[in-house]
Amino acid sequence: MSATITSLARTFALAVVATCVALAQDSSPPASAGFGGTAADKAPRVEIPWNRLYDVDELYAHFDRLAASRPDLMHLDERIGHSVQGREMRVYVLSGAGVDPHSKPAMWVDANVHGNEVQGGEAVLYLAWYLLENEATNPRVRELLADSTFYLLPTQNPDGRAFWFEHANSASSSRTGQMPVDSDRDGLFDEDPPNDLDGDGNITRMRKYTPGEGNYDLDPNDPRIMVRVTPVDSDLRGAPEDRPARRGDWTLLGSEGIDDDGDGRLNEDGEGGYDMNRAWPSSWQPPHVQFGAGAYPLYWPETRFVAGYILDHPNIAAVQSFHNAGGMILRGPGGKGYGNYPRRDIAVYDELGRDGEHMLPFYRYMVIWKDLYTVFGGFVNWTYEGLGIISFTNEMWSRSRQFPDPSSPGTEVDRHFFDDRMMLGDGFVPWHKFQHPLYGEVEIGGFKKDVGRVPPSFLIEEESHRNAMFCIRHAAAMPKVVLASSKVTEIGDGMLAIDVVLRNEHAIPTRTALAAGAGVGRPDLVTLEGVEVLAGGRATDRFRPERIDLAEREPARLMLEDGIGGHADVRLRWLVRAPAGDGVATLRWSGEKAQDLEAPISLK
Amino acid sequence: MFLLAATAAALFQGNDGPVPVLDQTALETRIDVLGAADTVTATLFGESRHRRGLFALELRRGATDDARPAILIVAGLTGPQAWTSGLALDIVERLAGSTLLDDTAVIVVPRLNPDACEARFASPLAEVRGTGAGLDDDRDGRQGEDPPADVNGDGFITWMRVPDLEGTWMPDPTDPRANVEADPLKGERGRWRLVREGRDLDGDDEASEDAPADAEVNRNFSARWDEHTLRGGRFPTDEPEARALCDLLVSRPDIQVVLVFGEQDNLVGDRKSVPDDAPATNRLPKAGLRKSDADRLERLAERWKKATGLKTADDASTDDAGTLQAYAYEHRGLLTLCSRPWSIPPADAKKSGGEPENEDEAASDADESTDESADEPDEDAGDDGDAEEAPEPSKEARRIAWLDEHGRGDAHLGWQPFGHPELGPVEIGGFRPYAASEPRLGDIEGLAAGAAKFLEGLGPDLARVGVADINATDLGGGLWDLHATVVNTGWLPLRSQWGERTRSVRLPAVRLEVPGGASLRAGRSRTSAGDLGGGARQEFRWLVSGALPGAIHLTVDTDHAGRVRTTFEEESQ
Repeated sequence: MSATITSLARTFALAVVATCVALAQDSSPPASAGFGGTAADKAPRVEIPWNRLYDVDELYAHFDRLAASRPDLMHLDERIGHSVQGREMRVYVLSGAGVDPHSKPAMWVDANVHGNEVQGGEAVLYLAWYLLENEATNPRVRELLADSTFYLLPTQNPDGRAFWFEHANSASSSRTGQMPVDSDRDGLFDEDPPNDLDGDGNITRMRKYTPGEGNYDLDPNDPRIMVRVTPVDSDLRGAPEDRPARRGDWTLLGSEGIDDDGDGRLNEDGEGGYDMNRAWPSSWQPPHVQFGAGAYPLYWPETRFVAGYILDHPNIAAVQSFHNAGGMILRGPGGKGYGNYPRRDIAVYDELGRDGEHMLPFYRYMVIWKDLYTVFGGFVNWTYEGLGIISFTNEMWSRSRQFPDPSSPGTEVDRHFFDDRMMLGDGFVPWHKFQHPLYGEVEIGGFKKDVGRVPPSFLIEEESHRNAMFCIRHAAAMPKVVLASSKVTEIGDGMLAIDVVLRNEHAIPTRTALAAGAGVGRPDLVTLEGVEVLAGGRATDRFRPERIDLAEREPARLMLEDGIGGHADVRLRWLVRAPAGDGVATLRWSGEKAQDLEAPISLK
Repeated sequence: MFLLAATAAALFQGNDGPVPVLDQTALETRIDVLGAADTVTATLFGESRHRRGLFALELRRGATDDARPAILIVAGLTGPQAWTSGLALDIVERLAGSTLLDDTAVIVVPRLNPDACEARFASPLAEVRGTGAGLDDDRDGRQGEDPPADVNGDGFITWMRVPDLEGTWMPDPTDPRANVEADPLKGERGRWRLVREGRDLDGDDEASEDAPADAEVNRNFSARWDEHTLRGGRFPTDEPEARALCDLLVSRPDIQVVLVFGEQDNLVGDRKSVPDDAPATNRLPKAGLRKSDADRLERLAERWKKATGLKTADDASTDDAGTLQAYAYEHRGLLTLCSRPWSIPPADAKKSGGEPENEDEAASDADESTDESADEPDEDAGDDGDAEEAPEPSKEARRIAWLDEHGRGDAHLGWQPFGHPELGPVEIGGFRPYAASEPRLGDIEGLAAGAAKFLEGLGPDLARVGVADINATDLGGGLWDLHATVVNTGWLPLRSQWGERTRSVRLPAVRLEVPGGASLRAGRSRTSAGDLGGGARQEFRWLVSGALPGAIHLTVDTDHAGRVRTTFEEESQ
């Protein structure tokens, strides 16, 4: 005869815990709600203008204000890294109060590993701001923070960010860190950078009037625009050599600068000269294969700090690393040679990536090597391929947003239309004459450094919000393990069968297929204590209880290398000796990437 | 003082004496003694994971900061190779007074892995390779809970034959002390598992399967690093010793040639190469020694063998994934020589021809089945002979035979029955730790002297830049036609073929310095020479006005082939 006993004690205990957590949070200061998330709601407790980009010090100052406003929820981690030039690398830890943040599944969010790709820093700031403002009023935010932690590094490359803000640059320069490199291999370091010849704080372009000897003409409708002249008129029929040769009247001379070192080349050895997103251990390749990779993996102190932090926080279950630009939600692999990611993990990526495409208009969900270009040693490649963490890089801001037809790639005419009508020409340095030491009279002009790769000021908030929401979507998918059911059955001969269903309510598995396959991290562990366990293991057929994948040893301590899949259950069955009186066994599940679970199971 | 003691010990014991192996204290003492020489400077360039010092001795005579080519020598990479630290220091001693140091620097890292080497002096005694990041080897949620141990209390951690119907190993019919893998196709059946000596402390029916330290220093470099393996570690250069050596290489671009004393060998052993123009796959260049570099190594190898008397590197591993030498060559572009400076020679030459082809397979089989050691039981690969023939002794049997024949019968402990507390009746035995990996003095007689002689011979072969035929012709009107020829006076090219391909070594920078007021009328004041092979020349020409030749200087600057600065002279008519 068998009896089924539902574990009421367990349900009660969980309810008590939940109430205590809720009470603890309700009593946390300050009760006054901040910005409520809708248009006519309250003013935020911490006002941050979202129509500008912030340099390193301003960014940290905003974070400090936020941390001071809710010290119960966010603090600066005492573990601080330092860049090549000694700037701080700050990780802010944001999590619901009452539970050790490092014991919860965590999402790592960073930005700006490329110094010029700045707006991710504001997205990270916005993410912190939004969560803190809404924690008191939005139940979903409360639940997210109760369940999980955010590690926020607003800039992975503070030197590059500072250099981009403080010095003359273009939209693409200052991608590197600031360790001097002999980029032109002449034995000198950083001796021939671009030069801000006109002193306007931007590195734009130089052009020279070379009548009949150039490869460009000016657009007759808008002389700001250079039109490339093809040497042979392709509209004419006949063999190319029979067609009239065409020449333009203007020559483009490249970026603003002089030949500082007198080697005949301009701007070929600027500050730094490497790429900290090619520095990561998985599939790393040296500089002759992958530009800017450094002398060995994690060569720069910035990268080594980040790697150390992540390795020491195995609770990190999600990664976002913001870049710009192009409107992409990127995942690995970075190279064709890697092959494909395991199907089970791709399903998780796809669920999040496709949602992302809907949340982020103009963004496409893409595979790095296939849809963008090959990257060896990329950061999110390491966090997934090396560490088994579901990781994305969003390439923030798509220029398509400023074109009348977003499906077209956009022309220079469109860019000027946008700049003229929407920014009243502020984004463009008009061509103006300059006496160049080598080229003689030239013209200098072009789009400013904060045009093209970063959003115009009035769209920063929207970009930040949408990307922050994608982080929240990603974080909310981190594994959450609950006891779906437990059942104790008398099976005779003084024995009980204990059937337990553990459920991961979220999309990301407790162990990605990669982590399980490569043996990364610790397998999930399920223990049953307080009762003599005779045998146990995974139940493989819900209708045939005798089908058990029996543990060979230590049946009270089951290792689950595959963990619990996303939105999936794991069924376990133990055969135990029935206690003499009313016994209570304790079930514990623990894993690296979800909060531990403990539940009493009444053996009555 | 230590030197005298060591020499005296050697004299006393004759050639049968064990090779002196230095513990860290003795090593540092000897470094201090050697560092007292005018030509030797010892520096601490890093620390091991367990805070032992990493030392480099730099040998040079004369200026300390002039540009000259350097040779880097690295030893002491694993426990069984601890003795090579003494060899490296013997070489330092012999080179300290050499004229090689007049124009060449030699940097010697006698012990890159002091933690593994210190295990040479531990009790119980075990051969140690892994000293770094530990993983949960048996995936049971506990790390390092079931390490190798001296179960039978004989003072050694060796191997266990665990009777097992599913075991793959059986005794060598020619010598039952040796283990061979059973070949089911020949009707053979395995009788035991070979397991590192240890307890089953975690009760999982596996003994010694989860050591606290796994990562190996010489598998923790970035070239073809093995991700997600025990030996590879968490990431390349995670082990402080590996990172310190990489930083040494980065900070010393003057290093032109690297010589590694370790478990691989490309001087006496295998030297398979790939064509210089082997195509890349998915943008990844084909790994391995390039043909042109192999050809150069061929000549150096002949000289090495002649100078040192080394003939075989029978135990050398061909697997160099993640090693220092792979990094130095493939990622830094430096010509890299590897020597496994002693191994048990084949007892007779019967089988010596057929092995290299199968060595990769044999080595990887051995890795799986006997845990880690290249010195441990190894399959006799390549035997496809007639079944009627008398069985050939396996490689392991031949090694045992050699040790027997050379009066080292105690090198193999035999196999002693033992009642294992968890596994039941087993046999414990095998090679006494280090007995098969360390030579006797007589085995390496003349090795240090030979290696020093080889290095002295290598000095003149190193690539060095020079300027020849530098002159100036007066074209009239104050215009001078300047000519100079940049030459590589050495036999080696300025860059190895791989260095050329990878551009990891920079080309010679050629700089013309004209005084103020003078004008460069033709030519480039800053340019670079091309790849100069051994003895190759490249001419340069400039037109300058407004200065006399004696005020015009030419500098040729290289990473690792020296630097020259010279002045133009008017051509004599």
